[in-house]
Parts: sequence; C-alpha cells; structure tokens
Amino acid sequence: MTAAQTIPDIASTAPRESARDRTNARLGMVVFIMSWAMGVAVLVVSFLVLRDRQPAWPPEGVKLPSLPVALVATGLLVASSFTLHRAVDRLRRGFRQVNGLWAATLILGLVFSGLQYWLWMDLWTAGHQPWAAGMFESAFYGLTWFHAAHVISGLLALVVGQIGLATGRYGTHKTSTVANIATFWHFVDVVWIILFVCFFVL
Amino acid sequence: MHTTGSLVLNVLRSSRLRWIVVGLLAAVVLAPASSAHASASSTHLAAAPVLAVALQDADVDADQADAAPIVKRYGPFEPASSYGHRFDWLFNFITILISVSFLLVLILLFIPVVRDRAKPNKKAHFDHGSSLADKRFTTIVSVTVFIVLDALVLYFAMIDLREGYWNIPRGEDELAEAYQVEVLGQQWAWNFRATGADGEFGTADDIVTINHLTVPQNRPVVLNLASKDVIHSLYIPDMRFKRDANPGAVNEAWFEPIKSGDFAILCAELCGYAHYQMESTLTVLPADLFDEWEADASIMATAGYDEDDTEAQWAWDFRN
Amino acid sequence: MSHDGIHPEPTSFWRKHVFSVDHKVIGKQFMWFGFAWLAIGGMMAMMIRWQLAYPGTPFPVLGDFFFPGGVVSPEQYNTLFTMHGTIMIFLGLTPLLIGAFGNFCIPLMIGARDMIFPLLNCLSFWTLMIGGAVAFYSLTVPLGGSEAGWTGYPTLSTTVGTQGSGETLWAIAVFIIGVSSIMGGINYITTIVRLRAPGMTWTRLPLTVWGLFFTSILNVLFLPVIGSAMILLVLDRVFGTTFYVPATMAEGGAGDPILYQHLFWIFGHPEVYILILPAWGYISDFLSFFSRKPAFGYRITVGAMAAVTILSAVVYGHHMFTTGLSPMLGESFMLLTMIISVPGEILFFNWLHTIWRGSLRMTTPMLFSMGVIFVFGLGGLTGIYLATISTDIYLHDTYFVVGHFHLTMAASALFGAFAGVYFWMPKMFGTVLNEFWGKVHFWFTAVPLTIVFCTMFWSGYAGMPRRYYDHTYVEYLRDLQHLNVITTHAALLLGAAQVVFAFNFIKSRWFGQKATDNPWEVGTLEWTTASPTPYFNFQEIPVVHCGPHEFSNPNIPGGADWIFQTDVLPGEPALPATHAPAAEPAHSA
Ligand SMILES: [Cu+2]
Ligand SMILES: [Cu+2]
Repeated sequence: MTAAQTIPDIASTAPRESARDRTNARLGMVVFIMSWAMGVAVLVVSFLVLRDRQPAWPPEGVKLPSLPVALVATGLLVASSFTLHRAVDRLRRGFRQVNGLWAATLILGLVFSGLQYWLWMDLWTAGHQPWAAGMFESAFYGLTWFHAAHVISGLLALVVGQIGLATGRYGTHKTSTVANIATFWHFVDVVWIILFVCFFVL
Repeated sequence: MHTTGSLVLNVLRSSRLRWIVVGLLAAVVLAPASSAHASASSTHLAAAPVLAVALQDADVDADQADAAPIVKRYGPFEPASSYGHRFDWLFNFITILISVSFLLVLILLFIPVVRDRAKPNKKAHFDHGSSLADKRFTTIVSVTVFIVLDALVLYFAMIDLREGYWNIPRGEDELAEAYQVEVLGQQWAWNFRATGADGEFGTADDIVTINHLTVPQNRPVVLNLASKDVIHSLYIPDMRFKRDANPGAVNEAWFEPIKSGDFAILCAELCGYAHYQMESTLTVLPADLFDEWEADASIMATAGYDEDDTEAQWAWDFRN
Repeated sequence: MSHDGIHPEPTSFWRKHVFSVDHKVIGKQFMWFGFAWLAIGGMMAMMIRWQLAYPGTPFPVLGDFFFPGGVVSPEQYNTLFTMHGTIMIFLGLTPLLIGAFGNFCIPLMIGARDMIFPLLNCLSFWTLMIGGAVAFYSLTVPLGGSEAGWTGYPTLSTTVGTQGSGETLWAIAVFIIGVSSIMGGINYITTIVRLRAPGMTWTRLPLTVWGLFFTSILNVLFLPVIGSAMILLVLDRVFGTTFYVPATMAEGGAGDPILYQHLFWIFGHPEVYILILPAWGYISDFLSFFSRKPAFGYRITVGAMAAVTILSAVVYGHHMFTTGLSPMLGESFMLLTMIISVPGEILFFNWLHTIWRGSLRMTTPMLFSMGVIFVFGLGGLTGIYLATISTDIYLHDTYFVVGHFHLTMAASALFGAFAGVYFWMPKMFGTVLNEFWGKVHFWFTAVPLTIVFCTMFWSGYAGMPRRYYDHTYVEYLRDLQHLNVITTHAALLLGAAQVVFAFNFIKSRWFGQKATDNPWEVGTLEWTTASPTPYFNFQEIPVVHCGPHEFSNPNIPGGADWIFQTDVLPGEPALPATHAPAAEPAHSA
C-alpha cells in the first residue's frame, strides 16, 4: 500500500443523479424528520400536560383569536402542500414544467404567514401578551413562534427550490433536493394542523 | 532548534532522565499532601473500612488544636430515626454484594494480564464465543447476576419502602398521633410551622420558626414541604431523610426520631449562591420536655400574633 | 453516476483546512476542539477542587489571574461547576468521542470515501463552534455566567433565580450544540446504513461502528428533547412566558418546574449512553485487537448495546426519586433501572471473556481499555445504590452521586477517548504516540482518578451535599474536610498527568516516529490504507470478505495471527452472493 494514489473516478459535475443518490438523500431526510418530530412532540405533550393543570380552558378572560381566520389559514397551508406534492410528482414522472405549481405553493405559504400575523395581532390587541403569566398566552405565542420559525425556514427553502428549478439546477434529472424541500414543507403543514387542533378544537 | 526545546527533547529521549521527570512530577503533587496534611491523606485513608458506619478518629489536626477539636469522620453518624437503620443495613448489604462482584471482575481482569501475555510462538485461543453453549452460558451468568445483585436488592428495597419511607401516617387517627409540620423553603432559610397546643393549623398559636425545628421523640413527624422561590431539598442526614421542597406543589414525607438531641438540617438542592448556608437545626425533645416546650411556645406565639402580618401566615394556603 | 459524498480535493487553504468537507479534516477539527475544551473544563475542575479543599485561600500558580484576590465568590463558584459540567459533556467529551472518532473512523472502517453528506458534516462542526463561542461568551457578560448547575433546574434557571443574560446564553448554547449533534447523528446513521463497502454486512462491522451507530440514534432522538426544553426556558427568561413558573410565585405563573426535570432527564439519561456507547464500542474492538482473539460473543455484544439504547429511554425517573414521584412511578423506574444493568453486565462478561486465554499485548490503548473496565465497573456497581430508592433518598445530591457519575460517564468516556487517541494516532497523523509516556500517562491518570472519585464515595456516604461553595462553613461537615483535601490533591495530580499527555501528543504529532501503515497488526479497513490516510481513503472501494476480529484463526496462512477484512479466509466462500459489487450501480453519465 503506498501513499501516492491516483485520484479515483469521480466527477465534479453531476449530470444525473442515480437511484442510489436519491435513496441516500431521502434516508437522511427521513432521519431528520424523525428527529425534529421528537422536538415537536415534546412541545405539544408539554403543552397538553400544562393545559391539563389549568382550572379552566380556555382560561377565564381569554378570548381565542378568530376561528374563521385560523380555518382559512389551515386550508391555505393544506392547499400549499397539495400544489407542492403535485409539483414533485410531475417532476418524478418526467414533466419539466413545475415552476407554476411551485410558485403557487410559495404564494400560499406567504398568505398563510400573513394570516398567522393577523392571528397574533388579534390576540395581542385584545390585551394578551406573552408575559401575561397565563398558560394560554405562553403556549399560544411560544408554540406558534416555534412553528413560524419553521415556516420561515420552509419559505426560504422554497425560494431556493424555485431558483434551482428556474435555472435548471434541479429538474427531472435531479429531484432529491426538491423532494426533500417538499417533505419539510409537509412536515411544517402537519405541525400546524396539530397546533390548530390543540388551540382551536380541543 | 532552540536550546530549551532540544533540552526538553533530550530529556524525553534519555530513558534514565525520563524516570527522573516522572519522580519529580509525583513529588511535586504529592508533597503538600504528605506534609501539612499527612494525617489526613495517608494514614487514615488506608484505615477506613468499607463498612464504616461512623468510624471516628480521635486524631486532631495540629493546627486546629486550639479551636474546637475536629474529630475526623468517614461515614454518617448512627441513624436517629425509626427507619434509619434500614438505609444502613441495605447500604452495607449492597456494599458486600458489589465488593464481591468487583473483586471477581478484578480477578478475571488480572489473571489474563499475568498469565496470557503475548509470547513468541504462542497464539491466542481462537474462539468467537458464538456457539449455542456460549450463548447459554452468557444467559445463565446474566440471569444469576441479575437475581443475586438486582432482584435481591430490589426485594429488600421494596420492603424498606413500604415499611419505611412510604409508610406515611394517613387518616385522622394516624395523623392525630403524628406531629405535623409545614416546611417552606426560601432563598436561603427554612421556615417551619407547627400547629401549637391547639393541634390546628391556621390559628394564632401556630409555632412559626426560622432555621430551627423542634419535634417530639418517638412520634412520627409528618412534613408538608413547598418552596417560595426555587427548589430546595430538606436534608437531615442523621434521620436518613431527604425530600425536595418544590415551588408550586406540596410534597409529603415523614420520619420518626428515636433519639433526642440536636441534628443538622441541610439543603441538598442547588438554590443559588448561599445554598451552602442553609444549615438549620432539628431539636428532638423527649415527650415530657417537648410538651412543656410546646405549651410555652404556643403562648409566646399567641402573644406575638399579628392578624395583619400576612407574611407570617405563609403556610395557610398549603391547605387549599 | 453515484456520488456517495465524493468531492474533488480542494486546493485553497480555506477549503482545505478550515471549511473542509473532508471527514478526516473535520474529525481532526473536532479533536482539537474537544482537547481545547477538555483543558478549559479541567482547569475549572482544578479551581473547584482548590476552593473545596482550601476555601478562601488564593489559587496557587494562577494567583489572581482569573479572580480578584485569587479566590472565587459563591456566584463564580456556581458558574464554575455549571460550566465545568456543560463544557465537559457537550464541548469536551462529545466532540472527542463522537465528533472526532466518529467522523474519522466511520467512513474508513466501513470502506467509504467520505461521509454521505460532507457539507452537512462541515456545517455540524461549525455549528458546534458557534455553540462553543456562545458558551464562552456567556462567561463574560456583566452578571456572570450560568449559575444554575449543568442540569439548569427551574425555577433557579428562570428569572426567579438568576438574572442577567448568562443563563439565557447558556440555554441558547446548549440548543445550538444540540443542533450540531443532530446533524452529526443524521450523517452517521445514513452513512452507516448506505455506504458500507460490498461485503461489509452488519455482522462484519467493527464494534466501534456499532457503538457510534447506537449513539447516533440516541443523539437524533433525544437531543431534540433538550432542544425543546431549552426553547421553553429561553421563552420564559426572555419573553416572560410561564412554562416553568408555577402559580404560587409572587410574579404569577401557570406552569410547572417539575416538567423541566422530566424533559431534562428524558434527554439526560440517554446522554449518559451517548457518551459511553462509543467508548464501549472502541474498547470492545481494542480488547479483541490486543488480545489477538476474536471479540467474544459479537452478536450478543451488539444486542446488549441495542438493549441499552432502547432501555435508556425509559429509566430516567431514577434522577427524580426525591422530587415527588408517586410511589408507583418510583418503583417502576427502580425496576427498569435494575433491568438496564443486565446488558451492561453482559458487556463486562464478554470483555473479560475476550481477553481470557488471549495473547495480550499491553500497549497504551489496551491499558486504557482495561481502565474502562475498571472505572466503569466501579461506577456501574455503585449505581445500584442510586437505582435503589431506599438508599438513593439519602445519597441523592451528595458527593456519592458525583463520584458515581464521574466514574461512569466521565472517566469511562475519557479513558475510551484516550484509548482511541493512542490507537488511531498513526492513521490520523501518520506518527506514533510515545508508548513510554503513554503508559506514564495511563498510570498517573488511573490511580489519582480512582482516589478522587472513591474519596467522593466516602464523603457523600458521610452526608456531604454537592454544589456547596464551602463545606467548612457548615458545622456538620467540618469533620469531613480531610476527605476534600485528599480528593483535591489527587485531582491536582490527575490534572498534572494530562500535561504529560499534551506534551507527548504535541511532540509525537510533529516530531514523532513515522508510523507504518498497520503498526498494530489489525485487520479492519482503515489499516488497509496508508498512514496518514490519503485524501480518497481507498484507491478502490474495498471488498470485504471476513469479520473484523479473525485473530488467531488457525486457517490463516503463513503463521500470522491476523488478516485484513479484505482478505479471503481459506475454506470460506469469497463473498455472499447478495453483496456482490452490484451494490454500486452501473455508472451512466
Ligand atoms: Cu436551598
Ligand atoms: Cu440516569
């Protein structure tokens, strides 16, 4: 065995990813989602435990933010998951044109963010600030902020995906990155549905 | 190369000089231990038996001879509570078990080190340990160890818990028999509240004390613990007692003193910078002396009672 | 064209040495990072010990370099032990055991050219760097660093107990470090699952890789738990929410401080195994390598590690026996904790069986591996006192606990890390660590270390609570002070011994004897390449034909007592049909 070795056969430019590459990338994403789901589960379970300790729920004097707005926001987010799923599905089946569907997802996500902001302001102007020393305020702001951080990350990832699709970096020849962005966005969607159920349904 | 660098490298290369460095290293660090505190480090460590319950040593540090003499200690004092001996017994029992186990490990570790050193022309015994017999042997050994080590301890611990720590006096009769105390931890003091002569909390004759708790001998003492600010932990080593005082929740615990005298109360949960200063006193009085003390203290408490002083009524919300 | 994380060799300084994506460079970066923080955390330990033995006496040598008058205040003392714990666990041992050897060894031992996600790997290290920087910065803020202990229990860790940004920065640092560990974990798991060379079946993996694999699973599943707990803590501290502040507080609240304890220990107990599993993996291999005997009961060892991994998630309640768990919960946790000792004891059984009738080469890595058996034996067995509720109630939060967990998670992990450093040094840097000074280092570490933590058993048993600034202040503890003095002297010697190591390491690294390709005569894949390892690790992806521990196999030709994993044992089929090179798909450009 000698130290002097020829550089093995590798390519710096990647014309096409193999099935093996796709599986590698997907597995990494699955492990990541499992990990992050633990973090979300901890927050949600903590909230349910603490909520159970309160004498009344929602606590006296707390008016929930507007349910219709929250419902619309949920609907938009679910719709964005559908458009995104369609986009990735089309790419996988070999259709090149997905820019429109991808952009629709991005816009739906942005509108959701706006409605989320509206929900915060609704609660805030009603006199409920995070430091109000009540569990509803703590949990609502804490958990939705946590979720909002993921929405922002997701939107940034969607922008990266959009640029990549437009420049041809991603496409039918390379789907794993966009598929992973989509998985993350679906995850963000699912977390929102759990939060929606926690705050508006239960 | 610089002279110092090459000197150091030469020292490292020369085998005789290596040992000198090792010796110096040992001497430098061991020197203070062997001079000023010779009695502390060398002689008594060797003499300390594993099973010491309260091995006391009459030796006194020379530099502290003029102050109160300090008698060196290597274990806790004799238990002063009704269930204290259970801890001591189980502790010693576990010590014997694990000493035997550890000795076995050491023997199995050192036999190969001495016997099986690499020698020319000698090959190791080739064995993957994956045969059915090996697996069976492993299973038998692990089950045996679990039964001897863990299950046995578990069994005794369950008995001790049921008859000791968790056997808290409950119900009207048992509680009437017991002496009840409410404990409120704060940064950095222990507040205690007892019912006083009338046997009821929340009245003018409640005996409220800070950093000093007086209880009767041979009667169960039932404690309700909580905290004003951060988590504290009421620790009475001689009673083999410890229980956290949490903010926002009341913990219940008990012990029964069987010896009279003064005992130390410490705080065992980090609670800020004066954590170490929370030392308080537990005074255990024989029944007759205690009754006298309680009567006096109740009268004093009633005399000093101020209805408007809500600070002093801290424990009253314990009961709602 | 399959990439499997392959990338061309960089040419610029920055991409080569700083923001490198090469697993070997990142491994070394983790190593230096870990060494630096171990030194800082060790210094803190020395200062803590000095204060405990000679309260109020100025530090020797250091003088008033760090603290005015050379004496720490109670607040500074609390910061010292808080940061000592945090640093040693998150910034010292984790980077060294998992970051350094995980990165360096996994691709080499499974026959890959790099980690599967090289960029994520680089990101993991630099995230850790940021976490370390935040932790360091927290020491310099006006009101001082974190003072709530490495466990950071509320309400002491909320603004009820600690003001200032030190505690907040501590929580943020722990969160960032956690994210870094999760990145590493994702990379390790995916790499081990996907990038094993042809023929490297799961039962042919070196036990080192198995240990790191289980550790990564725990990292990925339980670091998010503390991450979430820290998010809630930061929200409480910065935005005035009340997740951990109960209703009885003067400031008001609606939360529960005990919730944090549950979350912390759901993470905290697995964290013990996160640190110890890699060390177990290393020494399981080393004991076999240096006994020239196969690792006894390979499958059982792996099974035991898997059992520990699973059980570690359900025993955490033993940290909360005095908190106020219901008797039923307490007894369940006691039983589960007893059960987790069974796989641990099976590991001991297999290790001792591995060296039995071997042909022992008492090298430094072997000494440290045996050291792990010794210290982990001592630490593990004393755990029985603490698993048993009726003895734990008295011993909880005393020095007994401090002695116990230092032996199990600190000393064992540290010995495992040292064994790894001595063992892989030739492959990492191409030079050999001096054996003589290695042995001096071992004995001057092992003996004082045993004294340090065994004396703590005595003082804890005698009733000395931990985290006290000055035991002589308390009348009840004054007659135990002599034990503190012994501990401190042994600890100073222990610290001095690490200077020997540092000197040996630096000297061997730059002026040491050049290493041959396989100085230990071991068959795992990393030794089939050159020392130090070339950029692409392997000229060609190796094909594996046998397990990692075929030592003294009578079928080995030529009188040697070892073969490479790439060699074919006479009389064995060359390669299972399922692992023919088809694992690498045809290149289609
Ligand atoms: Cu306290
Ligand atoms: Cu634990």
